[in-house]
Amino acid sequence: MVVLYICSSEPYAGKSLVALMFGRLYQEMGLKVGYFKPIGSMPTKVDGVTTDEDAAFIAQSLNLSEPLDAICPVQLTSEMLREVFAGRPPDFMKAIDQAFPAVSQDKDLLIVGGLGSVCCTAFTIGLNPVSLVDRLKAKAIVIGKYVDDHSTDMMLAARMALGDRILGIVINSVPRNEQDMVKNEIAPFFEKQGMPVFGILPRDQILSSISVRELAEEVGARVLCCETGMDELVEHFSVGAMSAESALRYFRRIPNKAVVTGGDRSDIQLAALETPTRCLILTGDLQPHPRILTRAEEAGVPVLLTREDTLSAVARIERVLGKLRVREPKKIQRVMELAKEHLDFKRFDAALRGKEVGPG
Amino acid sequence: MLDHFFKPKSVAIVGASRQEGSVGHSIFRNMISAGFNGEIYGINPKGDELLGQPLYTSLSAVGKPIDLAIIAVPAKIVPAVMEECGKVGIDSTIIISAGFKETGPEGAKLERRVAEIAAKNNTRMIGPNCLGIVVPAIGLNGSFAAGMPRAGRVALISQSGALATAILDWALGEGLGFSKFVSFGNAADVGLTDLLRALAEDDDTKVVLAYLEGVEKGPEFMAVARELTRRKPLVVVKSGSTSAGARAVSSHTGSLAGSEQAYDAAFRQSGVIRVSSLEQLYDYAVAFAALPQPQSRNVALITNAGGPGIMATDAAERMGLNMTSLDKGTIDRLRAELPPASNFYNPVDVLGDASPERYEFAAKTLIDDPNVHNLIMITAPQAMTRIEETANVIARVASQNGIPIIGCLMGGQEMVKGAQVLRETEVPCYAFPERAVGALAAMAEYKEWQEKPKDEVPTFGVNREQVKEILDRARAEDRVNLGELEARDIISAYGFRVPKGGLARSPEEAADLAAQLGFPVVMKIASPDIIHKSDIGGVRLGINSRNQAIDAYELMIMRARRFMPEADIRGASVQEMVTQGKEVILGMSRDPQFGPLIMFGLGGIYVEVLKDVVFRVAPFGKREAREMIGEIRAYPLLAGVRGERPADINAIEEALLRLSQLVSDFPEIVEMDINPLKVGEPGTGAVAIDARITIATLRSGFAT
Repeated sequence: MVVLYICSSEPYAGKSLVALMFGRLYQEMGLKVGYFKPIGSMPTKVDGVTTDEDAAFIAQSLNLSEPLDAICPVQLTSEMLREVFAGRPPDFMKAIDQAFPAVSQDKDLLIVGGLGSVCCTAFTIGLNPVSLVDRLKAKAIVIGKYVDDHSTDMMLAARMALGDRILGIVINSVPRNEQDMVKNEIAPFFEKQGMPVFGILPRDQILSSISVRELAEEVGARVLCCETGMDELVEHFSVGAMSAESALRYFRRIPNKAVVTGGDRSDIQLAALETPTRCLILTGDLQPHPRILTRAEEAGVPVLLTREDTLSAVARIERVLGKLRVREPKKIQRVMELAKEHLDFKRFDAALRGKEVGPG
Repeated sequence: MLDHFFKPKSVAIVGASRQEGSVGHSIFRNMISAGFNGEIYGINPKGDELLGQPLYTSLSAVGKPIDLAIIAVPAKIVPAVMEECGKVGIDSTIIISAGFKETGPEGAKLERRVAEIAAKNNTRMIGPNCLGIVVPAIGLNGSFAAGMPRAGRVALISQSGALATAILDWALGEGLGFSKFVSFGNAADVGLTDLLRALAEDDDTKVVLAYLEGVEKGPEFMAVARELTRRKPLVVVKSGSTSAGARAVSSHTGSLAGSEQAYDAAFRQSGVIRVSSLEQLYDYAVAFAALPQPQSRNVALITNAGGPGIMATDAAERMGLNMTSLDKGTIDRLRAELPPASNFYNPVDVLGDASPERYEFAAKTLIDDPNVHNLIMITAPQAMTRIEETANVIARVASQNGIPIIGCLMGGQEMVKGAQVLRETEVPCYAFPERAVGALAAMAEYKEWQEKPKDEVPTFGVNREQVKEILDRARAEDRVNLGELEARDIISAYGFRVPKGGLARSPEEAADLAAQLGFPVVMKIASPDIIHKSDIGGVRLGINSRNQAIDAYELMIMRARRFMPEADIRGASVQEMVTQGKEVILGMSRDPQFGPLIMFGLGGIYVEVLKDVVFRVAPFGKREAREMIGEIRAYPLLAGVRGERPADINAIEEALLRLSQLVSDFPEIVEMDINPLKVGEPGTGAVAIDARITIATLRSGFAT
């Protein structure tokens, strides 16, 4: 069995995304793939079991039958951290060791999802990526999130931490207009230093969007109308606090957006419905006028009502935007399209099996 | 058109309830007490009788032809009633009932159902959620408004039922006569434009008044209004003219209020007279209904007091009437007959002791003057004033002469009887001179509108295919903001001259391109995501050497990356620098109701700080384009002041017309600017330096 440890240059770089890609690609090859997330950081409950949201999602997407508390044995909750601060750390390594056999049994490949980034992997609780990789006898791959041409630094820092344990890197979230530069300049730069680049994934509109349903959950909103539009994907946000006339001009420039505005701003709401809008988020628990709902129904645009004021609603949305998750079927399908188009899977597979091949 | 609504021979009231105070009961009672000269059938499932009239259990039970059904039953029963109307063959219905679109999605569904039934059976319908209609001449009061106004020549249509009842009630007190009165509510079928079409044809109507909160189909409204105003005046109060008011309208009607500029432009382009208050609506209605059309803006005043005369003169000047000079002969005759202390020039002061005879003499003398085309007769209450007799004089001269004559009986208490005389003789009478002047000015303006030739929309030879290709490509990529080069290609396909230049993707390319074009050049960041280029240092003018070009390119890209890290940066566009000429701005924003609204102004501070801009709804022709240019306050700067050479006005006009054609050809263009357009001296043309275009996405549609 081969163990593949996925770590990243910074949090929310796309580890789960790549885990899903490789998991599915290897399953398609007929391999038995397992998934292990030693430390969970986004606690949720699935069928009464406390587990990690990402772990649960990947387990489900890869059709894994192992129990969730084995797939993700440790939940890093605030209570647990308090225990650590108080000098009573639980034995994390032991918990990991105990879960490992259950998730790795009968598998050809076990994909391990790292926590956070290489540079902040649970040092507080006495764990670090190096010790984890060694303990699991894993090979590692770095997911580097591309922000701008300075991002190479974070990626190289990851390599420095893990040294030869690293097979190579996948660069994620590259804007369309910088793809050529990354491909022609950054990738050769890494290759020259002996760090193979297994893929350059573009920043993708569909992946960087969020469904109206998720959004509703995030801002604790009630759905006033148009359930049918709940799975549509939102790519942008806009706060409606301007005059109706400027609103129209402004909203027209932003496609596929959610508009956050007060329930009493009928003019803004109508302007939003007139332009490419995926949902209205009405704040302050102010019910909109019935005529607005009529109009929204005609346009098929969900109207969400939250108790939050506009400022806090926006703050919550911004928080969720930084850590987008792949959940909807539309997104999963897109993930696999991207994988096939932008990953050099052959080369990665050879590297993982220990047959080094040159850049292809 | 709509004959069975306005001239029915038989009317059924569905929901004729015995319960006093209910809507159905009120309508039935109003129908009977107004003295309708036709058949009235009350429909009530329980039958029996009401107010001495038999009630029928259903429409089919009537057994005789019914021209018009007025429906006042609970909303949920309306579909069944409409089906029955279809079965019985009733082709005109008024649905008074509320509980439809105005109450939310469920109500909207019900309304759609009712409209479908109506369409299937070819039944026309006014409403729902309306007050009904009143036609005084045939004693038809198919509304729940209690009062019945006099028959007259004014038609009133109203989007708001309650406001209409208020106007109606007030008109009762003022004695204003109506030809037709319609409250059209949600307008699920018969709407504003249908009514305007019908009223244009209606010989009993001399002037049309409308209270509107919004216009749904802007272009159709403009076309219909343009036809109507060729024949008779249309005076409109459009509420929601402030931003708070617009918000209120949004909630009330559920439609996005179009911009005020769009309404103003659309109204003036179709000859609609817009008033800002109900008082003004009434003032104009009275004048248009009673007076002949003035020959010109020339007005003369007769007054028995200096102060009011001066006030009226000020008002005339302000509102665009012309205080006409009197003929020498007129002045001589006045001087011969009037006391020496009188003023023999316009305004003619007949002094505080003026008798009715003196008024009459002055009035007749002025009317004989060929320069006097309008006359306002002002009377302030003074010790010797015989008000009633003076009013009789005003009424007499008004009835005997073909020019507009208005009475202005200043005051209240003292003037009651005089005002009564004028009201009865249908001479417009106002308590204050400003209102009198305002009404006359509106009439003069309307006359000029009627004389304006039609504004033919020209068609230029353009490369439509090229524009379509660019737009299709952007839409396929789901982009809404076009890049500068795309915008440039689009406008040049429509015949705009653009500066020579191209896209540079590296500092060296920029330098080469600059050298090729010849220095000085202009450099601009090329990115569809950066709209306000100069805010991030994305525009450099006057680049004079290769080195400067390289520096400018590098700095520009660096800054753009830093300040707009998300932006798709494609390089920089390098252009020849057009140094000569005046800068003007052309803009377009697609109004949800009226479509492309084109803006024009002089560049820089004139637009941004002074808001010195004008608007027109496209498409328009040469005349409107000319008027636009002339209307901005800064026009003298274009025409040339203090020895400066004028700008090429013809080139601006052509630019406006080409833009009008472009945005009319491509409804997917929703926002657009050409800023600046550099205009040279006459005969040298104009160059579009920069353009910005926003389009609608495929999904959102654009035919709004």
